[in-house]
Amino acid sequence: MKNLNNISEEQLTVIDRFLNKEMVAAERLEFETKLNDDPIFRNLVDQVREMRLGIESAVLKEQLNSFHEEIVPVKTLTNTIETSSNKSLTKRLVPFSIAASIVAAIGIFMFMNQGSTNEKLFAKHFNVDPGLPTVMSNSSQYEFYEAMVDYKQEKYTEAISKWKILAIKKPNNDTLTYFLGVAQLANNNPEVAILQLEKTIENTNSQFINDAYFYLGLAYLKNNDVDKARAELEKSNLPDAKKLLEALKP
Amino acid sequence: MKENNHISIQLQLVDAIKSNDQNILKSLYQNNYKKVELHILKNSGSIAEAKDVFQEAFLAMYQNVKADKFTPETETALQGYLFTIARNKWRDVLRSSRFKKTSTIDDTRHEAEDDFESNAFAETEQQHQLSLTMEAFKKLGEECRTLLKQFYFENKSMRDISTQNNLAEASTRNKKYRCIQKLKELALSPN
Repeated sequence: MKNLNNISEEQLTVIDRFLNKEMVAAERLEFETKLNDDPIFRNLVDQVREMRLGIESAVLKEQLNSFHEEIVPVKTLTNTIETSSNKSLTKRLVPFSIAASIVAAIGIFMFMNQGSTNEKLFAKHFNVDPGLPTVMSNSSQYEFYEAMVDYKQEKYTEAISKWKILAIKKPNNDTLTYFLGVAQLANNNPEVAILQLEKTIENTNSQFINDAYFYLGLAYLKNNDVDKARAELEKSNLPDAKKLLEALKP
Repeated sequence: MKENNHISIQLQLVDAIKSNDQNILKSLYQNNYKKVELHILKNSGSIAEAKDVFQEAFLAMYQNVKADKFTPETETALQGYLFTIARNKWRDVLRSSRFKKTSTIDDTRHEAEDDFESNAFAETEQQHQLSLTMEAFKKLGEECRTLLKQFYFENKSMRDISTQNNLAEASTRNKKYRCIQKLKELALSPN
């Protein structure tokens, strides 16, 4: 940070462009050469990098509490552990603590109830996509359909392993990302499902687009993120998406 | 080959974190918190302490991913990494003076497991600087905080930010420069 004292506006702009990967090849090469040859410049770039990380960390830190607010408490048991450490106080505070427990119990019930409502809704509305018909014609797509057989037999882990191999060669193939997403969701892995399905919807012409929005909505629901779930479900034209959306109305 | 694929999913997660993907950060936070909470509650801690420790661990994980100090090796590497950081941070709390007389610590297994990050979290000069910058950022004016957040965290382009604020791009760039100078000033004289 100290060395940033002398940084000029132009230097900051250039370093930010480099760190944002906005440079074209020639400019980047020139920058990297300077980075290698000039220790003072290298130090300056490090300082900017560090400052950027500080800013980003500060922003993320501000958001962590809002992430936290949506989490359902683990168990009522946890409250028992907390209060048991204050035994000397408990006698005097019995009347208050009873009242407090009632309030806490209601709060926890409401929280748990919210969580379990989402879980119930998820369970009610989540049916795995039936998959594609596995016709074994020419076998250029043999591996894909072999995994589809696993998928239909609910062997999701096996199907995922096989599709992931294919996805290395074709990371943006919407069929692959879609079925990987649904299989990950069926395998109780919503965060990876979200990553995959977000790739599917990048392809706005995909034949899976409406299904992908639907399952993306379900993945968010699984994560207890009802707002995001609604937003995605609204983009799907499937009747199932409309039904779930109806059930999610506040 | 199979392992490579597991890693490719992890690499996607790492990339998503590096680009501050809100959905992924939130999902990682929410899906990994409870395990840490349970560990801390079982080991003499409270819910409030669990939250603090987990948030510190989450930030440490984030900073290490951003600084390329973490390389995923298995399917759940990142989630495991996050848990290990949280567990070690809690172990440090238990070893601190407040807990010295307590003997219900379940940390018998950690020694062998934690080699990969044992020295990564000692308070280094670099981390000290990072904390100073974070503190300084909180003290900046609203306008600067918004601009720096949009540019550095949300990865918005100068052009988009300028359009949004009805300013010329050069003015926005100059404003950003001045905000950075202010930030630097605040970080160098924290009081």
